[in-house]
Amino acid sequence: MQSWVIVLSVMGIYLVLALALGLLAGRKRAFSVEEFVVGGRRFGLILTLFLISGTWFSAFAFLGAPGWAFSRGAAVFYTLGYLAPACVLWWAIGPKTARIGKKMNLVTQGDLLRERYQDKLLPALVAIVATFAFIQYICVQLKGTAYLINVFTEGHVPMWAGALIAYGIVVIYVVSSGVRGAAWSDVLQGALMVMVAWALGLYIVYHLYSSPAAMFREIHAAYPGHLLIGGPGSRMGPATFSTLIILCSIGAMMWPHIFMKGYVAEERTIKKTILVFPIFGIFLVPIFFIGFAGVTRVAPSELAAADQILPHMIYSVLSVPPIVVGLVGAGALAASMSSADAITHGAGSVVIQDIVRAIKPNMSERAVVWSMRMAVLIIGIIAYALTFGVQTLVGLLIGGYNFIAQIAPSGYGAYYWRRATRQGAISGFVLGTAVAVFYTFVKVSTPFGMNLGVLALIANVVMFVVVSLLTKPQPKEHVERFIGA
Amino acid sequence: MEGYNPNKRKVYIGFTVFFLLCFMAMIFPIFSIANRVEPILFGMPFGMFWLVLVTILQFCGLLALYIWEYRKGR
Repeated sequence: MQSWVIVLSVMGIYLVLALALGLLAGRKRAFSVEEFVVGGRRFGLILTLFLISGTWFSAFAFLGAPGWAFSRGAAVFYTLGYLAPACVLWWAIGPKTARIGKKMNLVTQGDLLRERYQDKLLPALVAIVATFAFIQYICVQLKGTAYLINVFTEGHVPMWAGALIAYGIVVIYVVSSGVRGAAWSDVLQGALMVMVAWALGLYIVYHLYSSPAAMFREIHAAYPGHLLIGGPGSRMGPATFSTLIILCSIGAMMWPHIFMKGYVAEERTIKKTILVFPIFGIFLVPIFFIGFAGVTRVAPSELAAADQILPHMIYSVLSVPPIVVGLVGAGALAASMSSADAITHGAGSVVIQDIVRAIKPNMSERAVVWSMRMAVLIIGIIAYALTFGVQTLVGLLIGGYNFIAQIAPSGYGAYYWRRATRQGAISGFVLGTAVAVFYTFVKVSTPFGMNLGVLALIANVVMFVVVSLLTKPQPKEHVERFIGA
Repeated sequence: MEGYNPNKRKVYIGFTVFFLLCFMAMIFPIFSIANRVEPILFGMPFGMFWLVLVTILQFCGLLALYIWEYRKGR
């Protein structure tokens, strides 16, 4: 048998398993909105943990992070840096989300904003901005998936077909089983990607070098500065590094599809999940090694893009049996599919719950669930079309974090600031988004190379605070339901 | 959280300060003391090791918080 057929078979087995698991998860369930969006709020620790980690670690983990380690060196450490602070902030809002969500029957982030600020416009604005960020995020996953399948089968499966099959499976199990489909498939996907990351990361280092320490000394000798932030030879300055960590720490939990996961379990389960999660972050360590291993072994000119370092290492630098190549391919597919499912599910839920229901408040429960399913399908089709049709658009939408972080002031304010008002929340969000748009499209450089999202966030916070203080406070009893809960 | 409890407040302030310090340790200017390659510990350049270490510290902080919250019978 030709080796690419073996590789394809291994990846095919994984795909079939993911589909079967996702479909089985939703069998014999009556789908209310609560069940479809937040799994009836009854997920256990394992399911919640894998759902979150599957969502968090995306195609970026397998392609982007090694690519950054290879091309930008120490800059990649920021992905490790923001993980624990994001969890600490999550501790401040996640358990409250679980508690208040259950009491008031909330299922999306927009639900919370609407209840606290007594306003339908803010959740709709947030949903629109988030949907743009979501679609871009899905496109990145799709491109990664398509590329992996194409390279790992030595070009026998074209890009369009690989993405269609893998993402088609995701859309099918999300449409049929909702968040439960995503969660169960994430258990398989999460386990697979952790195993592959560790096995591959350590194998590559010990195959090419005598030890990780020897590898880093060799890199440091050949490219001084590659392993440092700032200074000659470094690929990222201190201001950029620090502001990226700040932005991502504050923004991570504001992604609507991640925020929503606060509703899927009880308060105590959420706390346990948050607790264990930073340890999951150690998962990133061997992934970096894969990229670093290439620094002194692979010339950048050998790659069309830095993201291709992992497949390149497997094919051109190492020679491993096809079964292993297939497993690595399946692990990388798992990373992107387990993010694509949560994002597509989140996007479909948010569009219906926060935009359509605001316009048509009298929809029946059944109609809402079916609309969400349709929305998942439509968003899936749009994302697929954008990935392969209008390439430049994808590039234009880069930088989802810069926009998502603009939800943070009103999001945290909802739980922790009594004086926050509707007018303050809306004007802050609008100004922050406008500044982010300005620095993304109009004036592309920022002072000291600071992250543009952080600049926008500062403007946002100032506006939020000033306008809130100038406007009429919300009734005390109303505010206490959120602050005191 | 029923009523005002000064001890509880102090504990939460303590945890907040601890987590803030951890956060500051990961960004400049404090990160500059860790921004170097040697010593290489556990196979990681020092800057990377530092970030892993501070991540583990924050995990320990969250664990302590969890134990404290649930020991009070809540």
